[in-house]
Amino acid sequence: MRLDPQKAYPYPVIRATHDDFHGESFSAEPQFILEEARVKLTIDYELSSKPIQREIEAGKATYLSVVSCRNTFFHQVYRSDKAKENDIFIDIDQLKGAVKVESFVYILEKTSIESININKEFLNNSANAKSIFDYSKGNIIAQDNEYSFYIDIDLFKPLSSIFILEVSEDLSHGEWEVFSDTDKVVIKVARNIKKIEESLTNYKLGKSILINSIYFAAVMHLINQIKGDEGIIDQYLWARVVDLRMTLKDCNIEHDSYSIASKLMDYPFSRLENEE
Amino acid sequence: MSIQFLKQSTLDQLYSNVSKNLERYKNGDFEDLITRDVCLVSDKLSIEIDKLNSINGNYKNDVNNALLMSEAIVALSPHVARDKRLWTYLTHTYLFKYTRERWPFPDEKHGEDRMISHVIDHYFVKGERGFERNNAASRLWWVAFMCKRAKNIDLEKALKAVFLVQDPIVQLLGRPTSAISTNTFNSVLEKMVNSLDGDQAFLKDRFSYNHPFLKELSYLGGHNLLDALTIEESREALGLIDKKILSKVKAKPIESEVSDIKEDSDVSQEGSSASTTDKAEEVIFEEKDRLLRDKLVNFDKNVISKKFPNTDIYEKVLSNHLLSCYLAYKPRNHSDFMKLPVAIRLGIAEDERQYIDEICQIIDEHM
Repeated sequence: MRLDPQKAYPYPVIRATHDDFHGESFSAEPQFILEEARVKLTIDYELSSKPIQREIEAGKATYLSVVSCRNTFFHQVYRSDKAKENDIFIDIDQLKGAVKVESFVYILEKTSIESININKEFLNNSANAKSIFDYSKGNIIAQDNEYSFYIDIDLFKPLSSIFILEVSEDLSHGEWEVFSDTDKVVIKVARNIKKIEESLTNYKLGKSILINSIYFAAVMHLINQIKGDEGIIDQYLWARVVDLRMTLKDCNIEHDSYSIASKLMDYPFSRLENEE
Repeated sequence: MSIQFLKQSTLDQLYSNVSKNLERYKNGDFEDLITRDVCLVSDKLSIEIDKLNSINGNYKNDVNNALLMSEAIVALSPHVARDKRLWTYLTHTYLFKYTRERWPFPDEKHGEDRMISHVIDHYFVKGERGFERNNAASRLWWVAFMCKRAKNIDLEKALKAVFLVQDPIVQLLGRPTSAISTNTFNSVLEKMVNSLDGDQAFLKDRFSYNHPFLKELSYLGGHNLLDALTIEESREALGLIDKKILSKVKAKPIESEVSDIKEDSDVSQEGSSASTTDKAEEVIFEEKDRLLRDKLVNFDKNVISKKFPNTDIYEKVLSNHLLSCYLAYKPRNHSDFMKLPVAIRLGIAEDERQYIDEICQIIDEHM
């Protein structure tokens, strides 16, 4: 929190940590949804104070949320006079790591708030004094706790990271099978294939051969799975990774699977060029 | 040309082999190690190789190099620009020679640890602030990116203000409220540009003006929602801070002086109140350190000032303020010096930084 939550303001502020207003509360917990290339934040402001709500309706105060990301220096201020249905969209490209959301009710022009819940410490001591406090433009009259979420999508992680290769004694010489009903894709292989794979990973040409054989076929299989049921994207991590990669590389799902796989894997056949 | 990144495994390997590869960093290259196989390629982004290859020279070329960097990778998003694999790839390939030229290797006599630390600072990205501060490639891009956020300021002019003296921009980026709040940052940048065109006091008077000003701004941010200010309101707030800072000048005893310096050491500390003393004017020291002070003053007079007679008084490695700090902290070697608060270490003229070790040696021999 950049505004010190322990700080005593020279005016009453509705905060969870202070009793400047007795029995009043303000909360604005955002809901985050990660979409293909953007984050959707929905903020519902829950403000109990009727007098302050009336100030917002009159345009003298506003709900205000600050969304910021220290890593990317992203900083946006959103104002609203609506308590509900506040949707904010931010491109993922603008964010990395922790993203903070801080919400307030902010005074837009000089005004007086009358509320029996204002802590007497802020009021004139005389017995007949009204429970009124004057606020200036720029004052904060309500402040919620800070919320944060984390964006760390590795846009360039190789597709091979979604595979696990396992030996299956049930498989005969040369056989292999793909299982995609878990977050990572498991390629079960006969023992002799595992030995071949281990020897190929030891040198550059070998790795390229692997990518162009078993992994290329497996990626094609996964694309066919997504083509058959796009709902799978919400079920498994591998499907989300493939889908995100397709979005980033402008792949059209209507194209043939071999063509999409080739693009997704950075045209792997060309890796064999100039290899010894 | 498509942009390339090191694979994470390659980055990890390079990082763990810095000691083994020191000779490559000093005199060789990584052409045989960094091949296409150890990199990832993205066809979503491209680099203009000609512009990247034009980046060269030392700190005097920072402005031009930052412009070239921002033109070389135009579509780079902040998300991708926070990827260590990209910048480490560049400092080990296209910008390898530039990195060596911009950040010359420390003398071997200072030991291997010092050289390893030098490589990690400038060829890799160490810590989150390493992107803007130390990595030879990313710092150029990030500073240009920050300056471009101020649409009303000419980019080249903003970069000239930022790179005139390193310290102000580092101070500003180290303060979360001021750096992130776009209008506040842009107003401070405007102030830096105006200072460049004027008396340059805001850029150069670190301890009597710049640091107290930014501390006061942080203090203001602790009570007020700087985020919500318009650009006009931000300018107005800065004007009020200016009046407050420029009207306060008072002398302090050494305890208070050192305490101010310590407060300055954590630039991310928000909410401290400002203090002002014209530290450029006098050296503060205890009587028992008079002889050491004389040795250091003579070293400056007979060696440093003879070689670099035109260094700005505020940027001298033995400026009056730094002399007070050496006498207070007495760093006896480079690693002692590196333990000094960052606010003390920054802002020294690049040409004069080479004398830090000799100053420490004079202190060590005196002790």
